[in-house]
Amino acid sequence: MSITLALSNSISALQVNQIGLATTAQNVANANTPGYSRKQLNITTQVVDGQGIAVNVSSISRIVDSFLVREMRRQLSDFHNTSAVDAFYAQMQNLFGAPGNNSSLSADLSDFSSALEALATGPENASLRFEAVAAGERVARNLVKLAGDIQTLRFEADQQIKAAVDQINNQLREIETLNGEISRALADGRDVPDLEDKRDQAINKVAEFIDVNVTTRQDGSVALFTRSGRMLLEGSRRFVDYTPASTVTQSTAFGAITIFPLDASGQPTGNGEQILTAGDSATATTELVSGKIKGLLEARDSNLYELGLQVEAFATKLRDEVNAIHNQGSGFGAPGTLTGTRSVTTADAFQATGTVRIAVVDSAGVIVNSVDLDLTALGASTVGAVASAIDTALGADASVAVIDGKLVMTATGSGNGIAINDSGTAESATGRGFSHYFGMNDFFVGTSAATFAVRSDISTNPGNVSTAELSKTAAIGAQGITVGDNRVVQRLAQLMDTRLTFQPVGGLPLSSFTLNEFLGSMIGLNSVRAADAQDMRKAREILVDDLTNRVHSVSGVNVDEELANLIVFQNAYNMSAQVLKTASEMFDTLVNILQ
Amino acid sequence: MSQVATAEAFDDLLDTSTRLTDLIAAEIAALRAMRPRDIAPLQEEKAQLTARYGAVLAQLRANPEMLKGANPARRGQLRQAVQQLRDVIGDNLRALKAARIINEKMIRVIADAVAAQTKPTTGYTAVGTEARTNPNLDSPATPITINEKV
Repeated sequence: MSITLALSNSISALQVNQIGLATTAQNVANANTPGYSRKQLNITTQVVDGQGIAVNVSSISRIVDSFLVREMRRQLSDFHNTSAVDAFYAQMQNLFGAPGNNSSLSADLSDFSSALEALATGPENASLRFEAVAAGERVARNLVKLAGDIQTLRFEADQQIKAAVDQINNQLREIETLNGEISRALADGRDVPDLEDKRDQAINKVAEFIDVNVTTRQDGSVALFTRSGRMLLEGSRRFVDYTPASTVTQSTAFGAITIFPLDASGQPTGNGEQILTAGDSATATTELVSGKIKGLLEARDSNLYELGLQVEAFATKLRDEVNAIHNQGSGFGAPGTLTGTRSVTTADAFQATGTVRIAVVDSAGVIVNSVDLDLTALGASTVGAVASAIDTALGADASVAVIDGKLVMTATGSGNGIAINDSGTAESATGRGFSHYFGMNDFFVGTSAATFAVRSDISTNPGNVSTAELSKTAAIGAQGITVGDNRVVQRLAQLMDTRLTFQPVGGLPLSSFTLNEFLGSMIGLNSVRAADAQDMRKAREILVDDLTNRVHSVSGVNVDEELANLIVFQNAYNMSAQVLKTASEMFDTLVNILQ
Repeated sequence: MSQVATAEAFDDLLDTSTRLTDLIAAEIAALRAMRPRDIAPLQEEKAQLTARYGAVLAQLRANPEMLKGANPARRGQLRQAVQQLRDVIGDNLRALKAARIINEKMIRVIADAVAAQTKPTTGYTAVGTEARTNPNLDSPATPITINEKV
């Protein structure tokens, strides 16, 4: 058995003093009435050996009573804190779908991977192309939904914060009124236990939402402060103010929660005191210690926000890795126009190394015209100069220019298309290949998970999926793109099984994972956190219940019994821990045997 | 292994799991109803059942074939019984932990309150030495009984 040293000292102190507080419980008819609290005890004491009584026992009972009430309120705040966190984790678990669910993001990503592998075996097969694009679209839709659902949950949490603040204000109004009635009654010499109970319930209601310290004044009124010392009510009540956001995205800056004094006409006045600063989820800070609002803030600004960051990291990785490879190739039947996704102006600086080939090919893949632009030799240049150089080199066969802030390459001549091979090129700032840098031939487009999509002209024409590589050596009139060339789509398929580096994000460490493994670790982390939150909620629920029972109990304080219980609980706990260990081992053994 | 031995092993395991589950549920009920005295008598049977459980587990590990002869319905029944035990133990540990936490805090609060009141008050006498209320005692020891009237 282990008892902490401090507790052991406490017990020794009690025993040295040889104090035995024995009480005889009396039945009270309305002991089970909610909010009914114990009456003051009449206590007589006994003198032994002529020694004066050194202990004021009635004050010990008062101290224990007020400890129990304080502790119960504290645990109530903690319970509602954890309860809010747990509730949102449960909803977050639903976002991923059940394990093995066919429509989960993991399943869709696996389907996409399979579709790419299939396409690699038959790159000219139209239905395989169609399926690869459809699978990509499912991944995109799932990502958009996941990102959207996360923000919807954050919006809900934010709305619940507002509702909690309104509730606090309602209860403060009630407590202020009851304070007045109680003070007046006590001044008149009347006992008002019913009003005091009603006030206690209102205070408990405030404690659900926000951590409180309660002080009772000489006149019987109570003052309420937050645990960090902000006044909520002393004499007159204050007003807690919060305006929720009208829409919520990852970057939303939320408002502050401010406590204002009220002026004579009952309006908030002055600058107030902030218990939550304004700002986005990464920058806002709170001095709240516990209560439902703290839990909602944790859900909104930590748990859901971090999940949003993880989803963004996944979406970015998926898009950039797929696009890097997709930009290396061309569909058979190269598209007539390639429009970049990067926003540029002609004056933007551009510098890269390597040689990029841009070709105009006909519907049979034969090179009509091409240019091999030596970017190393070009050195420090501008987007406009580069566009101009390509445009000039391709002459009447293509037009290349910056149009509406995007680099656009259009083949002239019916049935002709543009193909690019940027292998060996690297833009100086990003390291991306020429085509990838400008986003000339992206598969996935969109600046965030919320706007993720397959490029629209690939959706409408799956023939635009890059499967083949433009020959970097073929001359004009020779085959630039060959039927059955699957080099690029094969690389895309292999990408799905490649371990990529993921930077630390939202609690996930630096890792080397395939895309699907990263999803798995994201879901796994969320599951672990959700399970912890549920355990903590259950544990705190029991604490609150037990403390509430103690507060309302009329059996009084029995120190000998408490000491005896200490040993009983310790033994029972150790025994139960042993049962758990054996039962868990039994379960694992049975699972193996009874397969 | 014989059919009879398999059936016996099954029954033993099922019986032990079920009895432990019921006992632990009774323990939880006593705790939640604030009758901690009622859990002390349960501990002996709990210890016996746990020991028996451990013994069966050791046997199973040595002879996994003991259970293989059972039909699927019985297997499902056994798995469920053990799962139920695991679930109820989780609740039990939480209830015991809560009871311990409150119990320890109560003792500490009471002890601190008593200690604060029994500190001998000291002042100075006219000749500048420390005065003590009861100079012959290190600390007063006073047994008290209280009759509560509500």
